[in-house]
Amino acid sequence: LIIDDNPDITTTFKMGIESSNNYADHDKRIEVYTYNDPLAALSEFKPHFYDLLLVDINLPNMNGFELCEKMLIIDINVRVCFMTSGEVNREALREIYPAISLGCFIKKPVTIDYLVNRIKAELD
Amino acid sequence: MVQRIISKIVLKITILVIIEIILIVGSFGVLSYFQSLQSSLGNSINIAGKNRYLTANLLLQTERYLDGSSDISHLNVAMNSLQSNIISLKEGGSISGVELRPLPPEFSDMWNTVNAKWNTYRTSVSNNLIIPSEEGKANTIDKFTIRKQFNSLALDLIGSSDVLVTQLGEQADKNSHNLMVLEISLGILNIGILALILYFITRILRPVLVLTQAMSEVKKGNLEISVPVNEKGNDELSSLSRSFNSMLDTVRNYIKKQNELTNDLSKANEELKQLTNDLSKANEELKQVSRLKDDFINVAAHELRNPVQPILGLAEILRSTKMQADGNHNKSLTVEKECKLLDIIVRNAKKLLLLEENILDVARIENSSLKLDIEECNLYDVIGNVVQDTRDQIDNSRVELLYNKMEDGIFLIRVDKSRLEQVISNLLSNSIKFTKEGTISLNVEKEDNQALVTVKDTGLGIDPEMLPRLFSKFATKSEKGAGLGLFICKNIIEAHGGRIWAENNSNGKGATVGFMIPLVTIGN
Repeated sequence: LIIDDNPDITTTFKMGIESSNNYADHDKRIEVYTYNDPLAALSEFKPHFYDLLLVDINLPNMNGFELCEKMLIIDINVRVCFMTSGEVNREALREIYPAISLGCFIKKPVTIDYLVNRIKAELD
Repeated sequence: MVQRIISKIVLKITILVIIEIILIVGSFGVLSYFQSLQSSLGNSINIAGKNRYLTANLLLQTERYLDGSSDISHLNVAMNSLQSNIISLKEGGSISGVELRPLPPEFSDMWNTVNAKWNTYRTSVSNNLIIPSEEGKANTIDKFTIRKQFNSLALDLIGSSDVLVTQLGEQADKNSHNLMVLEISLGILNIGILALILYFITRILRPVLVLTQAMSEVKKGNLEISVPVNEKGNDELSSLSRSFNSMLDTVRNYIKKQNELTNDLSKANEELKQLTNDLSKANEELKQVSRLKDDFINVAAHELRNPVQPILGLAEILRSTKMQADGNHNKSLTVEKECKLLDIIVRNAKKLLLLEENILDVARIENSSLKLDIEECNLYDVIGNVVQDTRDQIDNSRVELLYNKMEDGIFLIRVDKSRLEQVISNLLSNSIKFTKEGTISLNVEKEDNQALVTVKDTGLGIDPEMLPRLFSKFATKSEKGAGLGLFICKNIIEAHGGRIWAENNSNGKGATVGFMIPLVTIGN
């Protein structure tokens, strides 16, 4: 599940990941769902359906961390990767959101190859 | 020092008391002297009174002698008694158990009279009784005459003695009156002097009392007092009072100085507080600027990187699909799909370019190196171009653009066309960005030789917090935009001699941004 308020980015990522499926075995194909609005993403969020959340931090209405906190309440097992094209201060973030793991952090822009590899690494 | 003062005071008081005692004793002495004078006068009266009796006795003895019923010795005794009584009256001395003083000189005349009468009587006795007996017996006819003569002499003697007694009595009366007056006077004098002494004692003791009172006041903490001092006073108490006053002065000055110091200190403290406040305010402002800069870097980084992602990703996808499609038409993208992806790339590249231009413009403004390429043109042409360019953006949104222009309009202006287009385009795209659905009206009017252009939308409006610094650098609250557009607009409009402003619509829906630039006057 990819959530980013920029439709160009969700389009690019969805196409990029899906085109990488062409090389993969059938059972290792990745299905991609995208949302541009975090409120819509949250209201339609289904537990035990997604393996990985790819969440942009700078979102309208609520930021990526808040969205993530709410989604983790619904599905505690889902893994999370944050994305941002802004600057990241992990220490400050850890203070504000102590409950959230900041292990996976993707700094845009990234190549499709890097993105796919990173997603696969998280899913293994 | 106090010991010395006390002994001095005691000495003074003792002297005064001694004076009083001397006075009282003296008064008593004077009084008893006069009293004794009075009583001796009384004695004199008694002795003088005794003359009468002795004279009567003498007359009796004289007659008895004349009768021959007694001899001469009895007559002599009677005569001696009278004689010694008269002498004693004058000379004084002890007589009949009474101490007698000599007769006061003012009575000597009267005594002389008495004495003369006595001498006459005695002479008569010597002449008529003693001497005739020596001549033989006196005849009986003469005896009657002699008796008569003696009788009258004795009466004279008694009379003069009585006058003396009366005079003495009068004197005694007068004396006793004078004595009373003297007693009263002395009493009054004594009381007066006693009062005077008491007054002196109080005067001596008063400074001590005042000092004691002052000290107890000071003990209570009242320092606003001073002890009255006799300036001419040279005594110990005056100097003690003076030194007490000067001590109080010193203490007062010290306390005053301390208060002043405390005041100064609290004033300095106040100033320091003010300074600290100012500093922390300045610090806050600096922090604000720094935060704005941090925010700007964050936003600018976001804005610069975001368009790169689709360009990079889509270019990669297009390339890889082209590679895969080589020889396999099933996997190739449709031309339509490819064009759509290329459009996204172009749009993001344009976005990136615009942002870069904005950042460069800001740098130019900061450097004061923003150059204007001024030419004379019609405002409608400029606006027309912008409306044409934003048509795509309008069509892709759910916003309707209303363009109201005056019928006959040629608005001649001298401007940098591309810069003015930049401003109007910026205002329009801002309105589009913050209006999800509704209308944007673009109005052009003429006002006092100025062109007035307003862009009014029905969107979210401007955050009141943002309003005051809307046109300053990095003023952004949304995730979209680096907060540079309106800053650049303001600088461009002002460089053209115009002004720009923004306000929320009075109906509470949306905002209006407008600017004015001078028109070219006809004939100019």
